[in-house]
Amino acid sequence: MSARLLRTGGPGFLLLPGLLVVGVMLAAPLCLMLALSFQEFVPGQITNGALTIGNYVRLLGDLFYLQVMLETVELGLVVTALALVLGYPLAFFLARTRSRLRAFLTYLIFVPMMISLVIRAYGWMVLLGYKGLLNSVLLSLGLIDTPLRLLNSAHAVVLGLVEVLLPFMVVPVMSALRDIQPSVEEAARALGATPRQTFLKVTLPLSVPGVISGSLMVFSLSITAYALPALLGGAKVKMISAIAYDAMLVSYNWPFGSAVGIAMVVVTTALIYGYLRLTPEKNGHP
Amino acid sequence: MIELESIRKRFGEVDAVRSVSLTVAEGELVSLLGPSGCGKTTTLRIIAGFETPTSGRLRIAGRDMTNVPVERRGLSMVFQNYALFPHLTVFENVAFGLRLRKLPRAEIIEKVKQALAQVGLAELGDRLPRRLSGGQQQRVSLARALVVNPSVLLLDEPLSNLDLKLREQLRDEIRRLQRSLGITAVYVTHDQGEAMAMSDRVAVMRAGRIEQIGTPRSIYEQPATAFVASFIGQCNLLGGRPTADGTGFQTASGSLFRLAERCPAAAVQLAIRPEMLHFGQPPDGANGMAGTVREVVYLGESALVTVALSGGQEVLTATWRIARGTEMPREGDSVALWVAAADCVPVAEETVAERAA
Amino acid sequence: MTTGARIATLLSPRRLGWTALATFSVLVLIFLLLPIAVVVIEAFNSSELMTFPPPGLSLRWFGAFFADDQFMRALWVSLKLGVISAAISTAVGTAAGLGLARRAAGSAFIQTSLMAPLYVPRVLIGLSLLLAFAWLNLSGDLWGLILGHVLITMPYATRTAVVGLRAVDPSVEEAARMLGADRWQTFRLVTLPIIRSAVLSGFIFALIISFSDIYLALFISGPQTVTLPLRLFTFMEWDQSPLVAAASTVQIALILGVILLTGRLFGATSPGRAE
Repeated sequence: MSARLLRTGGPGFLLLPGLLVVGVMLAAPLCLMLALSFQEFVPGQITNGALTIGNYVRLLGDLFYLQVMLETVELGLVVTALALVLGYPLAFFLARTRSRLRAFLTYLIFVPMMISLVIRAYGWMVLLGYKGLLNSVLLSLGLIDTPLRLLNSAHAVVLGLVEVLLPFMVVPVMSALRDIQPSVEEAARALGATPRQTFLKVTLPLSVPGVISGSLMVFSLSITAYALPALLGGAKVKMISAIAYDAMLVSYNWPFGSAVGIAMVVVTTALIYGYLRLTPEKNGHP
Repeated sequence: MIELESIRKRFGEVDAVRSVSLTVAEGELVSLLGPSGCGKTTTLRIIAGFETPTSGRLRIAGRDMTNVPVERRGLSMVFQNYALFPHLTVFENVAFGLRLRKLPRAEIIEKVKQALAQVGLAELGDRLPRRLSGGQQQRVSLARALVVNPSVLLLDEPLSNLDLKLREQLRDEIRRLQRSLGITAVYVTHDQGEAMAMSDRVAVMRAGRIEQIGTPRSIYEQPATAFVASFIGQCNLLGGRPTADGTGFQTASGSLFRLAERCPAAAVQLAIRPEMLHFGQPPDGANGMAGTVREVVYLGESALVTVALSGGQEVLTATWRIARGTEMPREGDSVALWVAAADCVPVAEETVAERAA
Repeated sequence: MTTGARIATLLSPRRLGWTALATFSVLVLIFLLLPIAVVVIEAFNSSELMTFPPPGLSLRWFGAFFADDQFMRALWVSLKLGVISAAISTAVGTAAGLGLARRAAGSAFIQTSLMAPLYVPRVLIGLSLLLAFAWLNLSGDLWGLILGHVLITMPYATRTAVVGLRAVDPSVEEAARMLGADRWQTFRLVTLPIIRSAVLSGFIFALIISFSDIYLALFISGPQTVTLPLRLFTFMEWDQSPLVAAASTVQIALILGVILLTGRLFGATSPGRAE
């Protein structure tokens, strides 16, 4: 009985610490948040214990919040689209190139992911600031007379998010492309398709699962972003997580903040569920 | 030395080992031979301790070992893929078991040197496994297994990953070592030539049961079932049934074969080895047949001649020994064949009887 | 023909389209790395204003960074936090990886649960922990932050452990058992040495993630437990002098240093796929 475990995995108790961590630090707090989202807010003492769905009603009924959610989704879609436009060709190149630099270039995609996004946001501030790189270049080229106010705008946020989330698009697409068997494309060529037709009719469709999973990941990460929009968008750009942050840490309306949080959890869980269904082994599931 | 008593092993819905009873005497090498899925490896792993039997008992040197953990059984195992510790040198690999037993350093060095010399690898102590050939790795594995003085040596298809020439060489070496050390051994293989060449006794397994166990010779010459007959070597099998008085065997097409012994009632086929069929007219008491040559396959030292018997649909393959001065039969030739009564073996479909050595 | 050769013939890299693609890709890569590069350059800016290109080069901001009390304290917190949480995370994650490896598929739920922290957006983890900690009056506690970081880094350690274990042949462990080693000895003397580099890369990865985290720090750290990214964040909202760039460059240097070191030691340990 105990001997059989040698070929079928380690003893169960090894899993306990990990499950405990997840249970105590993730599942329990989320349950708490769920519970709190149904409580009534009382300024000063957070809640009086009365149950209500008022928080959700407010979130989904108030025009202001609906507006914010709409803008968040809009921004998410734009970021995803741009990430796709920029990321797909890069992924294709990296998947197909025979250059000796391939491993190095692929590595370059992972490196930015290791650097805190605060730093990258700052980089964008330097680039887009009043006296930043872009303005300097444009001024010296004579294209503009006065520096452009680029920061504190939705555009800056989009730019920043695209840059930060690009690797999350490139990696799944690259993986999907690498999994396409060459013989499938060769068969198309043998049947008379030009390289472009092969790409459009064979490669592209076969890479769609990677595209979808990358898009889902990028989208869900962009709609829940907080730090980057706060830095690059300032007061101009209000995203849904900023609403949650304000509710929690500014007005101390935890019930409402929880409701917002739960709403985000529901949406992202649906998205991530779709993502996981599409790429069961490719995202490193053990 | 080893006693397996009605061992049964069930994995979920599947019976890997249905009922295996086996006694291995001290100093004996017994092979478990059979096709994949017959339960031979599972049986070995039960002896080793990696599996616990669903029912049945295991005794080693008289002690009940059925539930004793692996590391306390005092056995050694040689694996198909060598299973050397990749991060340790050859020396450290062989010393591993000795270190666990906390032997003094000088003694360990001495024993390891001896063990390596025994398998002919004395100078390779500092190498890492990945720098060794397959044959060398298996030798290290053997040294590692033997240096701890096990009561039993278990071998799980140790030669399957090696090429032919190496296989034969190592096979003889293993047998020699086993004999000179007098160590009891259980050897699992699917290669019948290997089993026949090495073993004191062979246990032919099928579908979780031992179909027949006996010396290589008795297995070969007196197969108990059609399966054993065809698994070992080549064999002609003629369907039919015993005659009413039991002195002969009547094939489906009506030919009557005389037998040397009384035919068991359960017999459903007659087994005749190709090399037992002779060309020419039958001497007194032998069984004669006639037929036309269908095919001749030249093998170098002999030829396999396939003959369609006249008067029926039976086809027999006979071995023609190449000799100068005689001409091989050709396709279409009419030939006469004969086989001695003692060389016709009636076999049953299934048997659980253990033929004595 | 090798796969590479076949693909190459197929897409005929010599064609014009390929050059365009390559150029585009390189431009995108530059886009990816531009902010980081800019930050590093800006760190040497001699002026006080966030001008780019810098009018002159100087090390004054590095000096200012190392002299700044709050930044140094934040750096120390981040280092402490990183090492401790990475250590715990590696232990817990490797154990989980051992438990998971070679296990039959019947534990999909367990697998998903252990990997869940990877897929729940950090903001939400931060938010829910904020609630939980406030409820339990643990806000600002270093251990709370450590455990939070363990939560988000553990799946990486688990993943690398599982991958590393795939390289261990079960029969090697069985051989050790047969030679007399019990389960713990087998793990210590055989399994662990073989998966050592995988475990180490899990540790390094956990360290890096912890070091760069902003979201958990934003929500659950307190005045005593301000991490470097958090300090940068709050500083940046009001003051954007190149001091930030210098601090960031130090952080980048540390992280890159660690990556390069481990790459050198263990032969390009890729941080693994997606995220």
